Amino acid sequence: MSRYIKSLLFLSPLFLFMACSLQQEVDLNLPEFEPGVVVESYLEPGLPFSAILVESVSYLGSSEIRFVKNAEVTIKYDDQEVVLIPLAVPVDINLPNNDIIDTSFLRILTPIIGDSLFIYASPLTVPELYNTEFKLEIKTQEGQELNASSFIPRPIPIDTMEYRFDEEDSLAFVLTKWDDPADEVNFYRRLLDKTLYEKEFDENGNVIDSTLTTEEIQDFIIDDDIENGQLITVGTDFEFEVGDTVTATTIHITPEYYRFIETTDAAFVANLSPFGQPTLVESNIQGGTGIFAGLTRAIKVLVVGD
Amino acid sequence: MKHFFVLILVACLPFTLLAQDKFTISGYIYEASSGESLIGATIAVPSLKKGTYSNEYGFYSLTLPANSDSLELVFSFSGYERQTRSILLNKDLSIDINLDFKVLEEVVIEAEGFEEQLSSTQMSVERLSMRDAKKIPAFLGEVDIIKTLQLKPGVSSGSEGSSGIFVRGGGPDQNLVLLDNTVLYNPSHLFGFFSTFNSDAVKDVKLYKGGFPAQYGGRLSSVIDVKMNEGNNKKFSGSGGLGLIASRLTLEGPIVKDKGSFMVSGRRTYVDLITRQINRALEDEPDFNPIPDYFFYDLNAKANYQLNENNQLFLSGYFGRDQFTFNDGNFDFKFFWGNSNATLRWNHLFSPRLFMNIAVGASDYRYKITNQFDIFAFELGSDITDQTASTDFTWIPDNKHTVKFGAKAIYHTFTVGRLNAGAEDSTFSFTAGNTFYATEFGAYIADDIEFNDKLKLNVGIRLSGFNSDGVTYANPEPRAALRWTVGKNVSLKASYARMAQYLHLVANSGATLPTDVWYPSNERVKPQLSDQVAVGVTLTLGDDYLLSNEVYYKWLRNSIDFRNGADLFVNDDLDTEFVFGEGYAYGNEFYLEKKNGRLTGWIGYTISWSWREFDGVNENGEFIPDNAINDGERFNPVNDKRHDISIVGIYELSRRWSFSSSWEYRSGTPTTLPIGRFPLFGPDLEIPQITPIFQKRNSFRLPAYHKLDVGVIYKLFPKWGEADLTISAYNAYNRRNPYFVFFETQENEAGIPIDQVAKQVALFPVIPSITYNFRF
Repeated sequence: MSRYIKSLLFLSPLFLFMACSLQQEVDLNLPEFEPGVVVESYLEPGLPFSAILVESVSYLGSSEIRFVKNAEVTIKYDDQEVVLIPLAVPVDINLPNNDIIDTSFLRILTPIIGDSLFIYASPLTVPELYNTEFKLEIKTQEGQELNASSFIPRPIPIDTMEYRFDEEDSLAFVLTKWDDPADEVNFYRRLLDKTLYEKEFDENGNVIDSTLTTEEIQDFIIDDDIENGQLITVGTDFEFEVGDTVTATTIHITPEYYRFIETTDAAFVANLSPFGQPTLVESNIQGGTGIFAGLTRAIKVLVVGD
Repeated sequence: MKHFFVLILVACLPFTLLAQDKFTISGYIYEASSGESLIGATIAVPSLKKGTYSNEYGFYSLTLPANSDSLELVFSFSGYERQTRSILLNKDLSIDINLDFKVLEEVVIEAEGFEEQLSSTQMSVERLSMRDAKKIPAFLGEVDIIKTLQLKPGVSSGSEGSSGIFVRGGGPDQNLVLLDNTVLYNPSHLFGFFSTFNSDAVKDVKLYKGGFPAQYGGRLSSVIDVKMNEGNNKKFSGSGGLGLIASRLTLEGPIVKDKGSFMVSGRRTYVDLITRQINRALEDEPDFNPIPDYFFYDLNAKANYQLNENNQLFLSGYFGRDQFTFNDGNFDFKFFWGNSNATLRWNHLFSPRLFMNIAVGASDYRYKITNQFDIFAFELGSDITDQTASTDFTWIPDNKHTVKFGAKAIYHTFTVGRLNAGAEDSTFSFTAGNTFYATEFGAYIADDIEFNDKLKLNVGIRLSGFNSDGVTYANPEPRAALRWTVGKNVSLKASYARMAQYLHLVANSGATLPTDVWYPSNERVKPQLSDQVAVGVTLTLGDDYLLSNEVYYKWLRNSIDFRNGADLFVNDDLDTEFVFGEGYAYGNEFYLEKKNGRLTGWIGYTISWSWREFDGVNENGEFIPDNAINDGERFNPVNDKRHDISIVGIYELSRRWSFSSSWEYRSGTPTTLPIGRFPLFGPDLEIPQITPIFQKRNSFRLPAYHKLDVGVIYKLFPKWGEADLTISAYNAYNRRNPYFVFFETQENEAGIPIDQVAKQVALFPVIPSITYNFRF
């Protein structure tokens, strides 16, 4: 072993050089950036119609999120017309007719930075209409007109979830399986969360505190290009212990939303990696950027060791 | 094809008739101590002001009028003692010459002059001597011929430390890399930081940037023709080196003395031996993540045997692999990639004026990723396999003509994105990927015609073709080169060459990655074409200096890029991700070389422009936005380097000490940066992800690149042979050259984004290295 230590000592000046900080801040003069309206509006059956409108900003501009607050936002389907109401969240909402908007679907209700979260929403919920075209129409105070159309893909249930322990029975991986319909091209967003009690121990090894935490394990998109009409199986790494609660979510998404995620992810990676391909975000919003898409989700929960 | 050979024979007839009152001197030029053939040696008859050069097999042929007086023949080669022979030319003569390497008591480097550069019609060519390449400081002490070529004008690297090259505004896939006649598809190791060429196994390197001889085809921008050593046919000998990251050993010797020889050369990195020990030492640490194993190796081998004075056989091969593995008990990950090549060659002399080379060979490049996880297995790979047959003739009817003709056929097999995944319990299984087959062929004829002492013309044509997936393409590729001598020391040159490229590299970034895939032309993917014209002047200044200046313009058609957000991973319809456009590149290259004396080296300067345009207009004249890049506006690709300067100096202080340095400067690489951003909340309205907004491709430039490398060689003189210690420092003044720029979101303690900053990442600081080299 000593000769290896000597080798390492011999090489240590090299490693020291290599370890020098090779990152440095640089000043860049980015060209003038023309802000545009970015829309996110998802149609999920049972949840309120909603949309978020923000302004895109110069990359090195302020970190404050600029919500677009004075727009007219309407969603139309069949012969229905749903007008979305602008509101800050959390809010004391006084809607006409004492209507209530269920904001429980919002994971973040706290201000993000500089301002409250600002959304457009309706007390009406998205109906379970799978062969219907939904249209989004937006008119801003500045006169910009944005529109888009989409549909809601049918829900595809998760068939099974199972876990398998490694040879030492210490860690398990989890498999999630669902049947892919053969008659159409399907796109999915797959989420997997782990919920566990994070325990704090005293000197004697006794639990003195425990906190319930949820950790995101997976979030990616897949299509059925390879497995069309087959049982799709998605696995994880060995990272679950006895008692962990694993929540698998399969979101059936539209091709446009799949492409939007694919290109926004690629753009995100390209900013951080020299091997990434700088990608323009592909949007289905005419007159702006963003996404208007229907989705349905299937959720299944598994407790490891049960 | 039959008609083609009839045409050749008819074309040859007048030369045959003319040649009856002439005699031919022919033979081979060898190095005396090893018996290695010498490429590009000069054979001159000063009294007649005639001469020629040995070809890539060491063969020469010089046809002269019958002469009753004694003629003096001079044989010379750079760094070797010249030899003179007196002959009486009243019959055909066969003269093989062994030249001795100069051993000088005093260090005064005496190279031969620049006759070939002045007298040849060939322009836009860089020739690299391995002796010089070994004196230039190298990254981590690993002598790298590709990186040395990057120091020549018109040639630049893809990125910091990369062995990928861009030639005259061309892409990294537009270089035809030949190792003993067969193609090397990925000539790099370790993601491009090292080339596959073990300097101990290489004899000669030529890089053609333009004015391509008719025997070459298949790539648009350059040909890198590398010849391996043949092995010492006089005595058993060896050479090698111990470096910081790799060691190498070459053994060579006679099979039958003066008749045949062999050479075997190997190189392997050993960083994995160190990382394995670190892993073992720290495996009990709870938070320790094992370091993956990585190594690469090369094996070169060659043998030759002279059956008789007219027939010689050569067998050569190369095998190289990079291997990256990771195994933590649950997870068994392997990633390997590499080339393998083999060539069998027969050199035959029909007559002193007609030389033939026939070669059959195979080459293969592949990568494979395997992953075993519990009962699940995953395997992904791509490969390209070639089977090649070629024949090349050199016919020298008289001292006015050198005719070269031949043909080549390659059968390609492409496996693109082959994926196999499944479980041992058969709960799931799927496959993806495509296999394509293609045949590529080419036939050529060219004549190097010397009209008089001043005017020399090389004119030729190559007919190339490609068949794949039921589609056949054929392209005539005319070639022409002209030399006009002005006085004794100046020659003016001009050339034109068309090239066709039928194979395309699917590479989604400027870097060379082992997972880049070669893809054939088909009905949708048309062959890429280039036309290049160049004019230049070459002059010698005294005996020591050569100055050249070349201006070129290159048009590119059917250039390939990828549509926005292309999905290149396991995509069975990969060619639907391609977009097609045009390109052009132009520039001016200056080169000043000093060859003799204690101080040798060169200065190169290139000013150049490279453009691409993907207008998105299809064959019916319709604009398809998805097929356009930058809305159809022209843009600079990453290989656009406005100014490129290199200065290389080698100073021989004494027999023991020599010093070298190289300095490079390149204008910043075009790059694409986001100019805007927006927050993306997602359907669950999570903390938003910052999403960059990119607009025009390559609309920024990174800061300029420059660095200085320095080296010292201290020669040792052990009783058993020769040795030296080579010490070098890469990036000696520790310049932080930008590798890429990114934007970082700075957050407060609560994880809330508060600011965005631009950061530049450099790859290498100053890196010292030491290498021990030996030869016995």
